[in-house]
Amino acid sequence: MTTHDETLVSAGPGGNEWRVTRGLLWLDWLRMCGYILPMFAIWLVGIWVVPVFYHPAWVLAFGMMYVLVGATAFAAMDVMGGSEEFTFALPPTRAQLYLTRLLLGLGTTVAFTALGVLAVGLDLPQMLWGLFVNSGFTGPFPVCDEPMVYGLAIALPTAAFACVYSLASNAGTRTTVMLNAFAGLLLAGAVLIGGLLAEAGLWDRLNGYVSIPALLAITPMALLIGYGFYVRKEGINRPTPVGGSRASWVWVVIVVVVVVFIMLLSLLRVSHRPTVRDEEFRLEREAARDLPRPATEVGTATVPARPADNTTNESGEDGK
Amino acid sequence: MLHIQIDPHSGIPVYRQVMDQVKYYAASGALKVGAQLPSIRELSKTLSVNPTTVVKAYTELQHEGVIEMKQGKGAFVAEVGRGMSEAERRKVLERLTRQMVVEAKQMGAPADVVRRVVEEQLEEMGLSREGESGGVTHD
Amino acid sequence: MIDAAIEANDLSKTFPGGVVAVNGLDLRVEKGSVYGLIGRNGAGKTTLIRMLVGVLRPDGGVARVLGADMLRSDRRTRQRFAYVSQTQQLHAWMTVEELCHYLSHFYEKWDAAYARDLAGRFGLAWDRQVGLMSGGEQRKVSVLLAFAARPEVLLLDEPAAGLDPIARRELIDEIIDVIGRAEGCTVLFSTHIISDLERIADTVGIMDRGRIITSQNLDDLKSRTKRVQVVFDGEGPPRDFVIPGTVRSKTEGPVVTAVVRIDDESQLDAVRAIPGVRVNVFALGLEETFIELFGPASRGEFANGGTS
Repeated sequence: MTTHDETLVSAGPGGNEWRVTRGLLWLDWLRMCGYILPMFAIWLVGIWVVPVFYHPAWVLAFGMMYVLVGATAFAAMDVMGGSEEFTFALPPTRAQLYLTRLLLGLGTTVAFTALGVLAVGLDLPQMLWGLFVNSGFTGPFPVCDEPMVYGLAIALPTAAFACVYSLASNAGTRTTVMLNAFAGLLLAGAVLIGGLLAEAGLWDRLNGYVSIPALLAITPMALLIGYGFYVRKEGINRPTPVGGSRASWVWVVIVVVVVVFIMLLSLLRVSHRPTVRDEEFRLEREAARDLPRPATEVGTATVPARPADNTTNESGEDGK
Repeated sequence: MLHIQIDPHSGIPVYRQVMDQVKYYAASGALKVGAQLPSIRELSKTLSVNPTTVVKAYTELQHEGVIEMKQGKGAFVAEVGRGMSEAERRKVLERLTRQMVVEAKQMGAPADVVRRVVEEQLEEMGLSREGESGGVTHD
Repeated sequence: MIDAAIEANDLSKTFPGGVVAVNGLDLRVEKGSVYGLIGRNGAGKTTLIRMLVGVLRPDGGVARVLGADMLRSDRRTRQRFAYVSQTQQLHAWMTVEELCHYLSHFYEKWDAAYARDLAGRFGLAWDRQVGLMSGGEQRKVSVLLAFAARPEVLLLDEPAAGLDPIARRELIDEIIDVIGRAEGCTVLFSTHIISDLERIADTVGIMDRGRIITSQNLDDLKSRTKRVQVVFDGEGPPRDFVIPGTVRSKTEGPVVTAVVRIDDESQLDAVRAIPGVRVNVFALGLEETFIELFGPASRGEFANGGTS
């Protein structure tokens, strides 16, 4: 069978690509199960068994923790181990390598966060425990009424995984892997902050309407761009000077500057707008000033109380 | 017993070395007419050389009439005189003899000495007079 | 025309920093051939093979194995070749058995029995982690994996480097066995140790500074390249004396020593006919030929390049 077509030759009928994928997954699982399983245990215990971390913010934190190490590991274990030349000479194509690792890594990330959020949101662990034990062990937990956090708990780790994975998998040396992974985190962070900033500007409220879609949008974008570079990647460890190549450092500096800039900008804007909280304080003070003095003579004319503002105090505890 | 030894590092190609040794054994009688040579695969394994080298040697030997390869059976030492025409044999002998004569000239050896040496070798190898050899020449 | 098993046309690769590793290289290896690629360290052999395999991307030109560009081909095409290199590292935490299991998913003709057999013959522990093995043993594992894949093309980049003489011979014997099989196999074997090749290569390509200088049948190269020594009576050779077919020549007093390409047996007759001269012809081994062509005396030049 000879082909004279230099472009991608498609697998003919009978090509057993599922077997190939199984082989790749087998290896990736072997490599990563030492990480995934303990994480799974923590997730299981933390949310289901001993629901201490019973808040979507905790799910978010767990997700980020998982991605921090996991995304880099999934993307760059070959580079770190020096076996990339070997792997690239094997039959599976770069596309197959990239996608199977992505499947396992992103899949587990989304599974952990989504299921965690569902569990917390639908109060499933409590129900589960309720089947067995009806003790005060699982008491009423503070309900989180920031729907945004639920969404963020899934979206942020997903986006972070995508950014770190697509950047780290294209790194050629150990040093560059670390730099690229860091840059990926910054990128995801920048998108998040940019989204939050937009929300503060548009609605004066962080409601997740921009940040969550933005994070979900950057996910496939980053992965596609990473894919495009990866299929052309060269499989030798190029020697780089200590501290990474010059290009990587420039990259990192740019991202850091951008992120810091965005943060400064957001601080600036926030400080100029009177928050609802400020308003409350002001009205409270006014109300206190206008309160009638305790009456000394009975039967004197009562001062009509000021009509109470509907917006204050009762709901002033949570949120703005 | 056919014991072929080759030196892969020599300037002489391996197939030629094999050929030369087979020819020597055939000529000296160590390999009788009709004796079977090792198969190509066997010999290449024994000598640790590429099978195509052995193929080349055997093919040339067949061409020169030293052996014949029977389909499916293997290679056998052929009857003397088969395969090569009178003219071809003469040509090969002339070339080899000239080399020897040139050497002799450079050494300063007289013609008689050369002739004597040739006679001795002929006798040692058992080449009989013309027309009385074991096989009949086929042209 | 027979399809070439391995082909390169005007192939080029320059590394960052301006190092030109491969420079407009042409190569053709016929199916079933054992092609020995020899060259000094740094000649570009490794880069060439990496481009054939798809580990590196060419800057210019084309590199094809079995008619396909391996960097862009799918798994089904890529499983028809196997690669062993000096620099590749296997997954150190895997055992031989696990590696075999892993690779068996990718190669359609994976021969598990052969793999076990080779492990036995090479003296490799089946359930030992590769990272705990010596360099030579790791190389043998790489070779085992490549052979057990039963590929149509074997691309071997310095496979014998770092192996002791016995292991070297085992490798050569295994290659001979593989070639001898009915289905055949094309082998590209690059080395800077020439003696490795002389048993198995049928074609030899000499690579220097990114190009293949000459590509010839090994037997032809040996028979046709000789060292000829002409000893003159008296002071020395006449002016302008040149032995026909000279590649390189040196004159010391009455003796002219030259590396000569003999195309015709009668080539030296004219020289022999000169009165008073003595002509000695020495056969040159491949290593000597290589040194004559590229050794210190010839630095920077290659005269009368050979033909393919």
